[in-house]
Amino acid sequence: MVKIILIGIIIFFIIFPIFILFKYSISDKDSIVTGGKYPEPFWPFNPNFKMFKSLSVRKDFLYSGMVSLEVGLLTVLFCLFLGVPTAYALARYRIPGLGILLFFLLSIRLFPDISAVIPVAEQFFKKPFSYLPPVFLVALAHTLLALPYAIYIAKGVFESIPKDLEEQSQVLGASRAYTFFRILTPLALPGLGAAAIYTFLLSWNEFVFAYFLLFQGTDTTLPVYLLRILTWSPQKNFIAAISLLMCIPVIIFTFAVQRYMRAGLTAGAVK
Amino acid sequence: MPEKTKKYSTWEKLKDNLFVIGITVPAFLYLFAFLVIVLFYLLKFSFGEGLPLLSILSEIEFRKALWRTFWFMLVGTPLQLAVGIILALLVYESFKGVGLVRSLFLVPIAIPALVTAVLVNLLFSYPFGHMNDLFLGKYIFFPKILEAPLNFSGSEFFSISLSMLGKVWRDMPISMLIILAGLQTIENEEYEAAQIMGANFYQRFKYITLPLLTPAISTVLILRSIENWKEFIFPFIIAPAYPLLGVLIERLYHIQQNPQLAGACALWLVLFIGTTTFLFTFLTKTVRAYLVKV
Amino acid sequence: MAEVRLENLSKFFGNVMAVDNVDLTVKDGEFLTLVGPSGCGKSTTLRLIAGLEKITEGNIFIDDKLINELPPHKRNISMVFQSYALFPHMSVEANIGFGLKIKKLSRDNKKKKIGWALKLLRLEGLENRLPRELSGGQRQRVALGRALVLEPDVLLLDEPLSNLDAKLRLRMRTELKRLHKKVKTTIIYVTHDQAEAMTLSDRLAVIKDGKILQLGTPKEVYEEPKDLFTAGFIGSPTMNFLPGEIVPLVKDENIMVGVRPEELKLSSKELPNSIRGKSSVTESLGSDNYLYVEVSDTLVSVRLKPEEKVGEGEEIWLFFDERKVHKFDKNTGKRI
Repeated sequence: MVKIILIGIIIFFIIFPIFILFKYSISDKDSIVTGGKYPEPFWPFNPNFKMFKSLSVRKDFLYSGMVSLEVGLLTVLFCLFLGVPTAYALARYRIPGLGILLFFLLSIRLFPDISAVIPVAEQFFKKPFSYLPPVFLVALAHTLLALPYAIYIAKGVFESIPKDLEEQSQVLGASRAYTFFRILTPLALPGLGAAAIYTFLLSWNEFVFAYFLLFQGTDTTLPVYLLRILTWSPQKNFIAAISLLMCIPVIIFTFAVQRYMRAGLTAGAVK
Repeated sequence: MPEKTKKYSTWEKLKDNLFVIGITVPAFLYLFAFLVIVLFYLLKFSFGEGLPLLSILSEIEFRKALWRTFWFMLVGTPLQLAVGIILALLVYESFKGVGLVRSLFLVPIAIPALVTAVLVNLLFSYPFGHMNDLFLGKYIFFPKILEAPLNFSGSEFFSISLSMLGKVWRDMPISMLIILAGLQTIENEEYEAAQIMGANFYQRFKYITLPLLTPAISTVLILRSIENWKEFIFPFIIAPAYPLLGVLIERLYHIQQNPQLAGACALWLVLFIGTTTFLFTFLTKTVRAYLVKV
Repeated sequence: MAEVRLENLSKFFGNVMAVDNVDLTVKDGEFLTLVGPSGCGKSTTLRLIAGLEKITEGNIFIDDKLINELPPHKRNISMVFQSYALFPHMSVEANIGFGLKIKKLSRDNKKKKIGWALKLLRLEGLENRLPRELSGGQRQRVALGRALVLEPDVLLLDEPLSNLDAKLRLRMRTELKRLHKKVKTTIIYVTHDQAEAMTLSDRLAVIKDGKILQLGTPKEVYEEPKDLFTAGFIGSPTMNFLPGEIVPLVKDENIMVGVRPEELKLSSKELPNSIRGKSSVTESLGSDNYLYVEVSDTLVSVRLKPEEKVGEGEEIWLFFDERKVHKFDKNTGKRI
């Protein structure tokens, strides 16, 4: 049936580029530098993992990975610290103008990154911000981007835990803090974990703010590192290897989170 | 006795309220602070010396970038919508392996945008690359349609089209998910009733699916149009010689070292997004009113 | 108006047999109900007639024309779904006129037919309302109007009254009877409510596990149920079942005796061929009172005359007219 053909075409359209990326990352020189004498092969003549090996000892690459990791973790920390209490309050208490607040929260993300980055960069290069380490500044910017989503997800998590549980605990004599830490947190942990992963991925992939804020310095996150490498027209296999390594945490987490999110997304959307 | 309890309860209420306010305020303050910073600088730069907001309008580069971005938005948005609808229709009905197909369709958003853009450049590299080799007929299964390799990033048309291709590829799943959610609100019995009354596939799609899908469609159109206006990464990597508005902002800031013009350009971008959103919302409202008249 | 004939009709869903060799002829202009418990295959049978499900085995004829391979819209049938399936974005007028629009009727013709349907179902004045602005009963009438305006040979109704509250249901029952008299279409009705089936149908078919247990007029099925299940299913309150060995005139342990609450009589004194029991609670259903009597291990319900009053825990004797009793084989369940 037509349907099967279309699905096949689309799957090919999706998988083919990724396959090519992988192919380039394991290609030997002859497979990527053809000089026009022969067409580029769809599978390298001598596939090897040399690129990955050399990257694993390459200082600037590893350092960028560290920077990305640090920024990501800091971002998660900030977002959870700011966002979880807010999400809890939004989920549990009747706040006037809740709808407007939520709308404002989500519509922040509609504001163009490229427009917002100019003011933020200007401000962050001035004192007192300029005294802060660049990693910290990028994390602050990433927190701005991720916070609305973190709050939205965490709010959903808290809403899915029946209020009765907390009330029951308090009626039985527990203080609010005890309830929060010993009863609520374990139940909320999986969902908050999803929020943390989503925040981390957002920061890991983020390019615009990282690029502007790290423009003058030597620190780079992985996306910025990739860009700087590109300006020296490196080999295809080199580019591909870096790109692929950048993708791996994303793919792992996406498949793990996706199953959880799909239920949440469709349930919420259908409402 | 009554007086004492009254004071106690108001104190409790105040404590409660303070608690709620206290834990919500930091996040909103944080976001609000950024909002202030952003607006401050955008306005400061735009209305600064020489009124950059207006002076930029006379710059050719700005007008060219605006034109390119406008076309990018105009062509890319319906394209995204069509792709989203097709994908959603394909995975809407349950069949063996539909879960796997849906997961595969979601893959593009897992890939960072930068990587996707770089990948497009790799595929369409000049003078030698898979796509050039393909069009030159170097592979047996494909005919020769070019005489000489094409420099995709050297052509305004091709480099911007490829940026659009990359963006559509990457954002396909998002449109699909929104449309899919909309499709799932339609009861199957409504299709059966129409079927019994003689409606064929296209008639069912035209009279039932499409009108009921309008909220989802308008959401996709609005969100995608905003995304296309503010697109930076794809044109930056794939079409740096032909800047769209986002790339122009970067250019003004980093290369020309002119934060004022960059800020003015940035503000214009926000204004264009706002106008388009408003227009689209208005448009979809009128279309929906028209469709209900069936 | 048309005759519908089902011959050896079967439907398998994987390994599950939903419809089991059904033979049925619905007479021209007849109101026939398929009644049975949930999951018995009545809706599936209806959907096979509609063409919404593919036949596994057997044939369906409309007016002696084999329709097995015909798609739904070529069978000249109409269907009303349990949920009405009104198009939420279309007005009442547009909903009713949808089938006419597909048939590409002229504007005047459409308007005329829609007007007829509106009048028939007392929906005048509501043409421009959307489904969400209508009450449950009104929505139901729109669904009926949408089906009838196409002047089908056969009208299929799949539990159309289930979503209505009790009072509205009663009103719609009379409405449906009135419609049938006026329009005279062949109607095949599906419900799990035996009272509905009894009041509406010319004939009804009791279905269980995909098979027709009994086909007959309401009177026939009520007065002479062919098997245990039908006897227990039709009639409210349900028939009482007494094991044969405790019934004096039967004294056969292979027989199950069925007797309806109104067929039982009470006596405070022992009478020849009566059954002893102990009185329990009395239920008042407004116009009728039913007394529950403990007899060996079962509770038997007896309809009391209006002036009769029996207290709890009293010794009481039941007797009945032996000609009016229903005897069933305990093993096969069939009538003797």
